[in-house]
Amino acid sequence: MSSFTFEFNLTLIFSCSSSQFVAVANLFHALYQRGDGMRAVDFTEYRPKLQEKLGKDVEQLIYLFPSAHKSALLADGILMAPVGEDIEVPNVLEGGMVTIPKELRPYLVDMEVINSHDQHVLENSNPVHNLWSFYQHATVMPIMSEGARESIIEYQKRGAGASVADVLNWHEGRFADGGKEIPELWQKHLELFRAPDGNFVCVEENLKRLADKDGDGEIDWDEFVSADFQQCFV
Amino acid sequence: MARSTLVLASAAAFLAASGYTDAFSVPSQNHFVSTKTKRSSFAAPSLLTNSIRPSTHHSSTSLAVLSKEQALHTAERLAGMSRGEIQHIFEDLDADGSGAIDLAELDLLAKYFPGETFTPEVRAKLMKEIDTDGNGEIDAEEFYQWMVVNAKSDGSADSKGTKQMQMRQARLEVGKDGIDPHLMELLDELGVGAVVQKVTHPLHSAFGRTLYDHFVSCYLISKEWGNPEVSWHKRLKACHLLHLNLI
Repeated sequence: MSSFTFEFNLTLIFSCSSSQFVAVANLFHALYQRGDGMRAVDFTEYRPKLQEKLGKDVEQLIYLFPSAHKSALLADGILMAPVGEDIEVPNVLEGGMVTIPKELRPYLVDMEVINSHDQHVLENSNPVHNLWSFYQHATVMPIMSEGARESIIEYQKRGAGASVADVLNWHEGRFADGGKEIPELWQKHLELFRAPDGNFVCVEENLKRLADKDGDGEIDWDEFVSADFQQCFV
Repeated sequence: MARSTLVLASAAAFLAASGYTDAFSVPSQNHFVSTKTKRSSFAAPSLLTNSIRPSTHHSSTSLAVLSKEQALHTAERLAGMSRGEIQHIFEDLDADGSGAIDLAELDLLAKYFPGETFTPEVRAKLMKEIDTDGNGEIDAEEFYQWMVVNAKSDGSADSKGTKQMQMRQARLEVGKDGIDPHLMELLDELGVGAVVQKVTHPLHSAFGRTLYDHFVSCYLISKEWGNPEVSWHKRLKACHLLHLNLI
């Protein structure tokens, strides 16, 4: 390895290991496109400017976030696909597909959790809503920051008593109440909760059968998190 | 709806410190005759104005970074209730469905405060206090603005969720001073302060907040939570990918 390469690597380590690395990306996370499709700036114009001012590493997370966010409801998306593998999601900014490497996924997962946490955390009085929030994030809990993980655990605790069937009924009911057809993205999402083949039905059944390791008829938190959720998404 | 159990508490001090007191009807004293020792936390701010102003209680300019909407957002978290949840209570009290609470209906508020004694005198004083336009009825907005300041959900007082809300307050108090000036300048340049979010539903907690508020709040949460814990060699590879733009 040449000395030039060695110095170059040191520079990169410092940049990406900064305590504010993900925080700065969060400060601009939905700049290029929000969940509803609105764009605060023209990303083709602003990408070079943000790369210059924030660094390519931070800007790349900002570029990937809208596509990662759009995939969050899907089984092969940023939150539910098995960890440890690269994933491909639709590129909402430029069309086609974009790859989210497994090495970047923890940062984008944290950005997604924080985006939701800032906007949804108060809707915690309904166990069904909370269970839905928990299940969406269950498979990626191992790669989150500790703070993000604690917030997801809180959703699980506040989801006690609810079931995946309740989650399905709630969502289908709210679309029916609104007199609207369920959008395709949501149809795919709700299939995850539909018996008998839904992925979260699998998770729920596994919890009932496997998680109660001490056989006391209840699933405590340690037992809960020891369950392998990913096998239901492979 | 399951009834919430509430206690008297006050986000008023926080809001006053934030400089966002114009929207609130803040009581000058606790009108409830408590069966317990009167809570010292129910202290009213001494300075109220009709304009939004920066805090005079903090040496820094920290809380001036928050818009009025963000201050309300934070007050909801401190109260442990969203606007939607307060609206549910309002609808429960509005027994005749008229869209307003009259003096007789106000009696129903007592069941939400089981630790307080609700006398006719207290009821009359509350009506006068909450009914800020003095028309003899309490509309939904008047009720929300009183509740978000004066009530606190007691259901999870010692829970991690409540602690997170308290931590959030502390985080927001770091505010602008915790963000590098060049990042704040960049936010201004990008114009995100002018983008008001109209997402999903008016009761959604992001509705009406600016994109700027949401971005700043996310930054502060992320700074508190830190980076995901990934091994050094994975981080090195991630840095390579990011810097060399191989994705």
